[in-house]
Amino acid sequence: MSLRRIEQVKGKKPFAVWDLLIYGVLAVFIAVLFIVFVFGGNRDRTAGIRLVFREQVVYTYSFQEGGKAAQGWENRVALRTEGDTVFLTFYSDEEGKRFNTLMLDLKNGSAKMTNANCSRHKDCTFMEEITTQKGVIVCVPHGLKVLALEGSENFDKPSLG
Amino acid sequence: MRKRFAAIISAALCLLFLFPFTACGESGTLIGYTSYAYFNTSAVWAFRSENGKETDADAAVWEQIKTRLGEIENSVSSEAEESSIARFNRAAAGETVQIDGTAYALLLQAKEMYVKTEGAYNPAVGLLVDLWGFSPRFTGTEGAADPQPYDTLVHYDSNGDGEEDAYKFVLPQEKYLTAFRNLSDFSAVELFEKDGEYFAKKPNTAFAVVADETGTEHTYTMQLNLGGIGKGYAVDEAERLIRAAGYRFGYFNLGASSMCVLRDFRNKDEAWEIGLGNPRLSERFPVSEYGTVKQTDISLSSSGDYEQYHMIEGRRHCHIINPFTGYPINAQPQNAKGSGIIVASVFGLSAAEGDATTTALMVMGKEKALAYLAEKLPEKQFVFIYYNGEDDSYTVYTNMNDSSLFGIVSGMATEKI
Repeated sequence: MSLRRIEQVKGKKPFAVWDLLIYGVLAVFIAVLFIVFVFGGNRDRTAGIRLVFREQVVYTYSFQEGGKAAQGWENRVALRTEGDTVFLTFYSDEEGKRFNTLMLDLKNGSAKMTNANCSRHKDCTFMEEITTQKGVIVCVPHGLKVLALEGSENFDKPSLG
Repeated sequence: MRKRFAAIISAALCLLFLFPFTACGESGTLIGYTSYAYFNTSAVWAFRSENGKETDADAAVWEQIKTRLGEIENSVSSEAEESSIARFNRAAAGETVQIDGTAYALLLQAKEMYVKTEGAYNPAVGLLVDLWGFSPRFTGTEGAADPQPYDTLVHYDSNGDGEEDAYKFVLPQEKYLTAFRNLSDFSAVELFEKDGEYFAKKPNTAFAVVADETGTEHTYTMQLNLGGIGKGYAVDEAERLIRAAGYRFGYFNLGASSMCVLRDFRNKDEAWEIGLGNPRLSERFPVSEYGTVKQTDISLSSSGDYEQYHMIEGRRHCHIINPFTGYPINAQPQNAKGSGIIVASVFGLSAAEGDATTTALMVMGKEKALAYLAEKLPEKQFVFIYYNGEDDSYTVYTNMNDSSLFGIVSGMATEKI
């Protein structure tokens, strides 16, 4: 087929059925990718948090349903509510001298360590807030770990230094 | 023509769909255990599980690891009253102290590293560590426990209302710096074995210093601090237990300063990607890691000035003490701009040797560190960041290639050795 003939055919019928089909498949593929990347992340959001102390889950807090202490740990947690915000204080000793306070934003589904008397630097209060199922906040001096309610600790990429 | 075009497009789409699965190695799930009960830090053991759940065998190995970590800590911790090191520290000058096998093995290794690094690694700086406020006495948020005449943590009036309401660190007195520096000759510690029992003899040297406030004379003797190398030794022991139990995949990480990696079953090359903690997390370098390394079946060690430090008179004073000056590294008065190595990592030594080495590199400074690495460890990979206070620049020095070290944070120059 000469070039001239091709131009003539194209001029009369720019898109054949096959062309449209392929373009259609590509469009659907791009749309699926867009939906997965833009909206898929929301499925990763956490529904609450768990407090793990000495390798034991001692308290859970669901942003929808509220908090629940493990047996024997009921007296170690104090809650204070201000609108959509809950301040959760966990005492890691029986005398109530060692504490960590978490701020739970029920509306946005996040948890942030806001205060602790663990060390001079209070490193745990500078850790990123928990919003996803992979979120974690650690207070090493108090041996306290805060994890997302449904997620497991993320061991994917170890860190050095 | 159309058919060929359609086939090409279809093949491309298939490849795109299959792409996420092409990097997979062996099957399984990465799970792990974490504990905060040892060395005042986190101990993490991650490993491959067939079904995402720990087995009884996994739990048994984790118990073995924790038992061994506890033994090592109880042997070398200066906090545990009856540990070998605590008893050595309490002993009088010239006294011989019976120590356990773990402390003996660690002290022998420490001696070896002291000689190899020409004193840059020196565990006999225990008094200086305490003087600068980095011993366990200072872990609380209030004043120091068991106050000493030389303490640099002072209670002061922070808002001018006449009440002492806050604590801050100040520079120590020169007389204590001099005395404690002169009590750090680790070569004078004698170690010996007799009839299957182990002993350490404390040097005869003691210094008396008169306290300003009371006028009372206090006598001081050498104090050991095996914190750094002890954690590395614990990692070596954990690795031994993990490998003996037949595990090929995973890693063990103790406080992020010492770790061993086995293999990563999720990748074709079975190499782990390990993040390097950013020592200057700030608006200038707003990422948690300053780079990433790829390693397999190896021990990794790191030391830095950014996790334990005090700001005194606007300058960073970190927990790594230069035994030659008595000052925290990069904080000597003559180094007014604070130039020096701010974090160093080495790969491929035992974790204990690695811990001592990275500490020594930070003490040595850039030029000596590079010479040491070239002369003593030519086969080992390393990476460190040098801060130049003169022009406020950061440079990453490394002998690693681009496939084993990548993702260096923007704004830091890289110098390949």
